[in-house]
Amino acid sequence: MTLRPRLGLTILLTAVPLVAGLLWLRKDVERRAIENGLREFVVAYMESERATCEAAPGTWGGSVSQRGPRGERPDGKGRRNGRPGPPRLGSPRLEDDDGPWRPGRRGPGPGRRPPERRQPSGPPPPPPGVPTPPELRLWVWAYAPDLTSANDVAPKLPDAHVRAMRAGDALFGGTFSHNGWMGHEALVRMNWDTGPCAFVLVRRYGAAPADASREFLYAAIILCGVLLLAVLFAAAPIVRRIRRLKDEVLRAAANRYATPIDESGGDEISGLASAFNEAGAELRAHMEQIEQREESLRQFVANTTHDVMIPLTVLQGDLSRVRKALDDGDAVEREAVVQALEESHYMGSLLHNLSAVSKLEGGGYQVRRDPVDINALVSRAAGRHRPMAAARGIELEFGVPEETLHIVGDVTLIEQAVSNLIHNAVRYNDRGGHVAVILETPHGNPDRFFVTVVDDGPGIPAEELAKLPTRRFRGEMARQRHPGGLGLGLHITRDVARRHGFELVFRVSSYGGLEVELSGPVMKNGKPEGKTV
Amino acid sequence: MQHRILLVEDDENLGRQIVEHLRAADFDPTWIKNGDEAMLESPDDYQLMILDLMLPGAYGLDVLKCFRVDSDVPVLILSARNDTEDKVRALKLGADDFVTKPFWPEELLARVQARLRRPVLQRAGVIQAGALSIDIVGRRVLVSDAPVELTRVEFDLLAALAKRPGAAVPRSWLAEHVLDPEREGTERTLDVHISRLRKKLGGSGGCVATVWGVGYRLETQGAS
Repeated sequence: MTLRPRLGLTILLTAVPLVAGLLWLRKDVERRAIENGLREFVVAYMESERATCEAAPGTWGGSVSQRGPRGERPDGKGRRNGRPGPPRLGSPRLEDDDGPWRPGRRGPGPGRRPPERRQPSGPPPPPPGVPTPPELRLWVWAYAPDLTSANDVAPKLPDAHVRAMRAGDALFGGTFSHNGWMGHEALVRMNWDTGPCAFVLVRRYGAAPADASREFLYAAIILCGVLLLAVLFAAAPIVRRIRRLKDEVLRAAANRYATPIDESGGDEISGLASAFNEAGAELRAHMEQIEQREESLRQFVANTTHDVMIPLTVLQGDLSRVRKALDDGDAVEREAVVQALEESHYMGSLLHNLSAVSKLEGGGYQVRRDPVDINALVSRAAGRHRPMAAARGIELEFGVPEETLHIVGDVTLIEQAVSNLIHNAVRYNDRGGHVAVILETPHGNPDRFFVTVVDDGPGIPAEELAKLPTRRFRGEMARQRHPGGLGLGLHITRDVARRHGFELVFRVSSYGGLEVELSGPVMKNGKPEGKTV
Repeated sequence: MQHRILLVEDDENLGRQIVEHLRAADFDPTWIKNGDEAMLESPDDYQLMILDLMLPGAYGLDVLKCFRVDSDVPVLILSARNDTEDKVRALKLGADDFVTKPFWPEELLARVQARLRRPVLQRAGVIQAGALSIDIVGRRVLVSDAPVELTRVEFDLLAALAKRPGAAVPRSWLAEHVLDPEREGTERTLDVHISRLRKKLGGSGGCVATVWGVGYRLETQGAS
């Protein structure tokens, strides 16, 4: 359901019970006023009529003037002197009264006369015509304490009236209907509890509650209608703005949330637009991150393919040379075999490095923080390169302290970082050269570990060395196989060191080659529980 | 006695290569190519297990979990995925070591031997390296059963190397832990002490090997 029908329905559902309640309330107030008026009239009237009533209860009762004694009206509106005087039965005023009003009846007919005399018994027959507005006529009847009347024509009291009086009520009122006539009535307990006139029933013919109620109902309906129209009119600009907002959101979505939504207005709808803008920005950032990851993955696959193809080609060439030598019965060149081994070793390292860099630069990768046994890590990293070093005639040694040191970090990344340093030292050394890997905690600094990779190879010129810590990794260039002896591997080592808060220092070794030192904090609280990676 | 090794690896070529290298290194390998079959094996029939992770049938880590229920046999994991998550999970499940593919046969054998290495300490506190016998508790050194007189520092240096035979001990560690740092704790002094020690050991002096860039090592293999 759209906004406007919903608003309309809401107003109707609220207004109808409200109007019904008001109508009931109005009717109830009116009824009470009439009943009280009737009671006051009866009390005043019986002050003078009690003796007459008790003298001839069998004939007492019938029609009296509406205005009562001294012009008092039964609804109290005609009271002038505060205390009403007794009405006179059979007074001329009484005689002049018109017949009781009956709903639906029109004005007086020609030559019609109201009843001239006091009705000694029973309600009057309906007159042929009723004046508009009708004169109201009162009828009174007396009842003994047993709630029966000595007058045979007095109406029999309904059970509800009898029950109320027996319960001790002073007044019981309501509406009545008699021979098609309607009106209000009140049964009043008199101040005296004895005699044939202990209770008096007064009836007022011609009360027309429906008339005023109908007017009130019409007014309420008109009011509801006006209110409905006003609300629908006021809702129109809101509906228009919401529709515009919807269109703008759809347009922004089609445009990958690049177009901002109009936030003017300074109200709740502009607040909603602002929220849409914020959500759109967040979504856009998320989408960009995903795209960046996808791009990184694509790049990784492309780089891997490219980088693996080169050593693979070299490897195929070396193996082909070996096969040809075997076919020709020539001696197999040891150098060709070693080179083939080296290429395959390089490919393994390259794949590990590409995998590491795709994690580190893919965005959103969280470096793990596990307790790491760095003695075992250094042993593994050196052990991985020992066969290759041996094949190339390079002596690779490593030494770790007797006690096991633990650090906190990502074991795969740290091992790759150390492995890259060792691989570089082996790869760019010459036959007969040496590489040493030492793990230690210096005497003066027992809270830090130092992994030093030292070689006696050609090393790096001092001026290049100074630039190394600040050299930025630049995709293509850094992926070249021999960019000054250091490339992707060193970039990863530096990145891993940075992410772990380690320090990486390059210096010329005392053996003339390169010395690289990776240092960082040793895990506090000694050895962790359980196995460490 | 040959060590029995259970190899669980699904790749034909790699499995065959590993089996050949293990046999050549005097091990007795049993090769299983499927995770489900591996779970039927009794782990205590072997002294070591080499377990690939990506297997047909049961996954490698499930095999490990199954074996670890009532066996402490050393397990060496082979994995093509160099992933910390895998390593941490495997170690939590009771793996002892990790070898990431690609690996050299020598590398794998070195790791297997490291896991199976018997303690070198033969009688209580006595280490043998060829003709050289070092009694750490009794603080005595014999070369071809003849006692050798060593100073306190010389003996402590030799004992420090003998406690980790075959492993290179960094010079800085020796200087710090063996020499008196107040008086003579420099690495240069260390070299002088080692030189004297070698002379005193005579023909067995070569057992105290210099390790380039690292420090010293007591050679136990092929020592004279």
